[in-house]
Amino acid sequence: MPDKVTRVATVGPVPVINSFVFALGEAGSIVNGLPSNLGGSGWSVQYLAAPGLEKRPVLQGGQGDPSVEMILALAPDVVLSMDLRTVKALESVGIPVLYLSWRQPDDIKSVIRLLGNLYGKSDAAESYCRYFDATLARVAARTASQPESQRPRVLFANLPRLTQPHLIAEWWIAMAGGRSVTSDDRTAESLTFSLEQLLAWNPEIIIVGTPSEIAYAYAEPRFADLKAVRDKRIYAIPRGAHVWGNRTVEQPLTVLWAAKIIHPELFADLVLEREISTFYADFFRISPDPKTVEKILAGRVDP
Amino acid sequence: MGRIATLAALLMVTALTSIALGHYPLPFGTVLDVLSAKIFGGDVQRTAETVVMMVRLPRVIAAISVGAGLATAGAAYQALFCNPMASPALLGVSAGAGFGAAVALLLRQPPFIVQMAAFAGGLVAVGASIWANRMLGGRSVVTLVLCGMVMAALFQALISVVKYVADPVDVLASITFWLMGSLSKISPADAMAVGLPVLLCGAILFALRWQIHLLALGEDQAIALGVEIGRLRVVVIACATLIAAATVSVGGIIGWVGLIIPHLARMLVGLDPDRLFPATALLGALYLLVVDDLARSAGTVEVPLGILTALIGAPFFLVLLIRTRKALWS
Repeated sequence: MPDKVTRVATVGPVPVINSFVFALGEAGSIVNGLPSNLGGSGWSVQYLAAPGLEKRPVLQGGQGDPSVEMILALAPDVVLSMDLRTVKALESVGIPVLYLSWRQPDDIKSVIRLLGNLYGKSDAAESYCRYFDATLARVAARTASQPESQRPRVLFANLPRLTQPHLIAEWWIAMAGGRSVTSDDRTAESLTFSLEQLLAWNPEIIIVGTPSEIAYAYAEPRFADLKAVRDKRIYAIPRGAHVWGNRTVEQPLTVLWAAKIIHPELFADLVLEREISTFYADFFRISPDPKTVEKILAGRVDP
Repeated sequence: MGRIATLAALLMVTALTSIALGHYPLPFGTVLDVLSAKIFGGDVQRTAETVVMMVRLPRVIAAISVGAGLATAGAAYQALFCNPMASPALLGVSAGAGFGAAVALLLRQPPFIVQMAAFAGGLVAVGASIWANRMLGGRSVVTLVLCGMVMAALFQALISVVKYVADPVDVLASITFWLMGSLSKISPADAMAVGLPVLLCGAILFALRWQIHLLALGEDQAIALGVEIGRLRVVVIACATLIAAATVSVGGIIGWVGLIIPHLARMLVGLDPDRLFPATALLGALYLLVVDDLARSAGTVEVPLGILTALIGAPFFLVLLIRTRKALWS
C-alpha cells in the first residue's frame, strides 16, 4: 500500500462505506460507482458529495460480491469492505483490503479513526468523533429527566412486511429518548412480528422507510386503532448519503431528527435544516440547497 | 358419511379455537362476545373487535380457503395427468406468480399491486405452458407436463434474476419472505380474494367430479366411457390454475398441501368421488388451519407457513408412500 492513499474502491454496502469516506473529505478518492441496486434518484446526496460517481465503474454484483478482475484492472490503492468473505477473496489475489467492522453502535468511531489513519487525516476523524459524542450528549442532557418508563413507545418498521429491518435502530431510538417496542437484546439484524403483536405494542410513534408507507399506514383499516395512527405520528426516515435508519456516518443526525420527532416539546428550538447544513458543510464539504434538504428530511426517493 | 361429518365437525371446532389464538392478549370470553355482537348486535371494545374481525377471522378464512383450494386443485391434477406426483404447481403457476410478485416488490409497489402481479404472473406461466404444448402439437398430457416443467424452471430463473438485481438491504428481504409463504398479513379483502375463487372453481370441479374420476383410469378408457376429454381438460386446468393463482397471490408459495392431502383423503375415504371430493377439501382446510396456527403461535416470531408445510409435509408424504406403496397407484 502506498504511503499516500489517493484511490480507494468501496465494495459491499457502497453507500455506507462512501459516507465514511465523505466524512473525511476524501470523496474524490473513490474510484467506483454505485451498484445498480443501490443507486438511482434516492441516492442524490451520494452524487452531490462525489461528483462524477455515476460515471465510475461498478465493482460488484447484486449481492455485494466483488468483481475481482475489474478491481484488479482498476488497481486501487486499497479496497474498503465490511464483509470478511470479500476481504479474504481480495487478499488471496493480492489486492490490499481494509476491513471495517461495525457491530456495536460505538464502532462508528473506531471505523472513522481507522480511515483517518489510512488517509493521514486523524484530525478530521477526531473532529467527527467529538461531534458524535457532543451531539449524543446534547440530546441526552434534555431527555435525561424523563424516566425510562415514561418515554414514548416507538416502532421503526417496514409496515407492509411487518419487520424491524435494522438492529441499529434499537440504539438510535434509545439515544433519542424513545422506548423501542422491538428492543429485546437480540443479535439478529432484523425482527419480524405479527399484526397482533403490533396491536398489542400499540406504539405512540411509528417510523417507516418511505413516504409511500406513511400513506399505506393511514389507509390500512387494521392499523386504525393504533395510537400512532390516531395521533398522526407516523414519519418516514430521512435519506441522505444513506438511509438514516440504517448504519451510516450520518447517525448523529438520525438521533437529532428522532429526538425532535419523539420529544417535540423538548426540542422545539432545534432547527433540523440548520443541523443538516452544518453537518454536510463541515464533514462532506457540500452545501445542499433548501429543496434538497427538504427532500432528505422527507425521505423522498424521487429525482 | 360418518367420516366426512367428523371432518366437518373437527374443522368447525379448530376454526373456533384458532380465532381464540394469537399474540394479542384476549380472553376466550371476549372473543365470543365479539362474535356474538357481530351476529346479534351489541357493543364491544374496538381493539378487540379489530383483532377478532380484521386480523384473526380473515386469517382463519384464508387458511381454510387456501388449504381446501390447493388440496382440491391437486386432486384434480393428479386425476387429469394420471400422475400421483402432480401438484397444483405442475404447470408453473407458483413460479409465475412468484416472478410477478418479485417484480412488483422490486418496483416497491403496494401490497395490492403485488397481489395482482402475482395473480397475473401465475396465469401467464400456465398460459405459456399450454401455448408451448400447442406449438409442439402435443396431444398427450405428458408433453403438457414437460412444457409445465420448462416454464416453471424458466420463471424460477427469472425470479433469481430479480433477486440478484434487488436492493439487498430492503427489497431482497421482502422478496425472499414473500416466496416463503405466509398468511400473517391477510386482510378481510384478501380473505375474500382467495375465498371466492376457491368457492367458485371448487364448485365447478365438484360438479365435474365423476368425469375427473374417469380420467384417472386413463385417457383411452375415459374416451370410451364418453368423456369429452379435450373440453374437460381445459375446464379442469382453468379452475385449478385460478385456485392456485388466487392462493399464491395472497399467501405466497405454500407447497406440499396439494400433493399430500389428496393421498391422505384417498386413504381415509376411498375412491368414490362423492365422498373423496368433500373429504379432500375438508382435510386440506383442516391441515392448513392447524399448520397456520402453529406458524403464528409456536414462538414469538412468525414462522413462514411455506417452510412449515414443507417441513411437516415432506416426511409425512414419505411415510404415506411407504404405507400405501402397493395399494392405490401402482
